[in-house]
Amino acid sequence: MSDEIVLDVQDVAKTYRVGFFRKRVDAVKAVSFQIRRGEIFGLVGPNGAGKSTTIKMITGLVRPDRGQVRIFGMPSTRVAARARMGFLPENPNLYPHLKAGELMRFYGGLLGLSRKESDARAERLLEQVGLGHALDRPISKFSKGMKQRAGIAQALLGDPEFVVLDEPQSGLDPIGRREIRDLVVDLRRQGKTILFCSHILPDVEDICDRVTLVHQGQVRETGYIHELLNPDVLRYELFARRWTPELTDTLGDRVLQRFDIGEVSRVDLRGDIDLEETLALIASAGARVESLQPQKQRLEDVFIRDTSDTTETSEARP
Amino acid sequence: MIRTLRQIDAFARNALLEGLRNKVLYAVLVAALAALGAASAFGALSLHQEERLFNNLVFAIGHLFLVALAIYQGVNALHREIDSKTIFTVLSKPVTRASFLIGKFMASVGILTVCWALMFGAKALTALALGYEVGALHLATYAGSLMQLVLVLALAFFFSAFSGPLLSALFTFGLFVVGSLTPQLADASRQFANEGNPLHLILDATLYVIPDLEKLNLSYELATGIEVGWGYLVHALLYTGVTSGLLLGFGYLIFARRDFA
Ligand SMILES: Nc1ncnc2c1ncn2[C@@H]1O[C@H](COP(=O)(O)OP(=O)(O)OP(=O)(O)O)[C@@H](O)[C@H]1O
Ligand SMILES: [Mg+2]
Repeated sequence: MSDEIVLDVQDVAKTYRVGFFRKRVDAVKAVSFQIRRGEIFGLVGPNGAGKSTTIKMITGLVRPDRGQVRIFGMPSTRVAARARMGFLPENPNLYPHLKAGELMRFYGGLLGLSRKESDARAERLLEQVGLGHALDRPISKFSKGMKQRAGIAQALLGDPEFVVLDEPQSGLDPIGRREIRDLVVDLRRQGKTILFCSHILPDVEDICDRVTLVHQGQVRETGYIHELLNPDVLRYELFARRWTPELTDTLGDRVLQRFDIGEVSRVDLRGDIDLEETLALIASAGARVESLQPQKQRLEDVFIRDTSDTTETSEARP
Repeated sequence: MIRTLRQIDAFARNALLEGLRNKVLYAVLVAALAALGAASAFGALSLHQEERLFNNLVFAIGHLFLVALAIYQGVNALHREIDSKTIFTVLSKPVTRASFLIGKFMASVGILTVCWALMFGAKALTALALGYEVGALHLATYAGSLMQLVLVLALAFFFSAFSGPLLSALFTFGLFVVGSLTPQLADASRQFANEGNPLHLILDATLYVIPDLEKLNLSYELATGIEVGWGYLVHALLYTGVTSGLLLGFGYLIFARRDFA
């Protein structure tokens, strides 16, 4: 990773006006972050937090009320900036009357590619996103997941250095989700920079280098994944046979909770116990440990902690 | 430069495929051709005057259908992209909002030209089959119709740049009607001026801003056999070009500042 800043979002804000009375909705109140070349950068936050609005300001579809966005040092309103960027909108809608091949040809034309170049790239990309068989099918007959895949293909058609993906895995089956995850990692391997907005936190945790968590239009936290997550063990999850109530008493407050599932007991132990001593006690009581899993803090835990001040969505409030 | 050309080409092909696969367009065209057939039959029934009647009636009907199509196409060209959010994938590409607008406009002009050619081609063929003449004056009338269609499209684009589809369609239709009545409005204004009624100022101002569609309507000349010269056609072409350019230009100024959320 180099120090070159690919994307610089400087304190942007956006207020929408809705309805007849032009009621204010503060979609984004104050968001800033920077993405460096070669990074996979995660953008997470609850529904209505302002992620997609931020992304629309990045891609030049929405003009910020305040602040500015720079891509490769240029404002995103500049064509030269957008020529180096690929964008997958949230739940992309593509032209229903076009066939997949024609669709790619259309986008190829917008990118200024020659017909030959565009067709060659389209074939490769559609194959890559698993639509190689659907070249002659109209988009209107595509399933939700297929549309999502076609959307990804069009985002990559211009061979962009910077790729913005707004919920690329929504509507995909588990295999598709995994494929997209692998695709993103692969894009980075090709030297691309990626902004990855997703609700699938385990994937964000796995593939992103840094994340920004937005809530109610504001950045709650930005940092490297490993810095955001507490490295300590929070608790141990243990499965054992021949567990006895007496053993629970012996272990005292080391046991957080216990469930018996037929022959097997699931016991949650505190994370700060002396593991060896505890295991010795368990063994001497005649119980047989079948599995022991240390549980560390997940991105999900951070997410829930940082956004728990509201119950439903993080809808902007007047 | 080459990118802009390829973009316009892409918009045109997309619009053409959309038109070819759009049932509304077919339905309107079929209805128009049916009406055209009925009008020809009706014209054939009236004694002596049949050729004149055929020309006027069929031209008027055909032209009205085309204007309706132009409003439909002009309003939908932008709104379908905005409402269905396909515009997100377009404007995030290296496409300026100006080339988007121009590309969509050119594509719409292309589609309308195809419909226009079908419509008046059918009329000319029918006329020839009935033994009527199809001369330069007829062609000039059709050309006038096409120029009106371009202006109607430009109006629809202008309004679509800042208002919803229904309002855009209504405004465009309204201006089409008013723009086709410019001689009547001018008469009324003169009348008011003679009476000292200040309303004539408003009418004059209106006449000054609205596109004069009547100027492009040659059906009277066609009916009475008044020749139109090349000078007129050049003038009409310039008028259409400049007015549509201005409308698109003003539309662009608004469109360029819009949010697509
Ligand atoms: N076009 C719009 N007009 C008015 N309000 C909008 C518009 N788009 C979004 N909003 C509002 O702005 C806020 C942020 O929306 P946004 O789509 O950015 O959220 P998000 O973080 O992407 O949510 P999600 O995870 O559900 O996609 C919400 O309160 C939403 O209701
Ligand atoms: Mg969103």
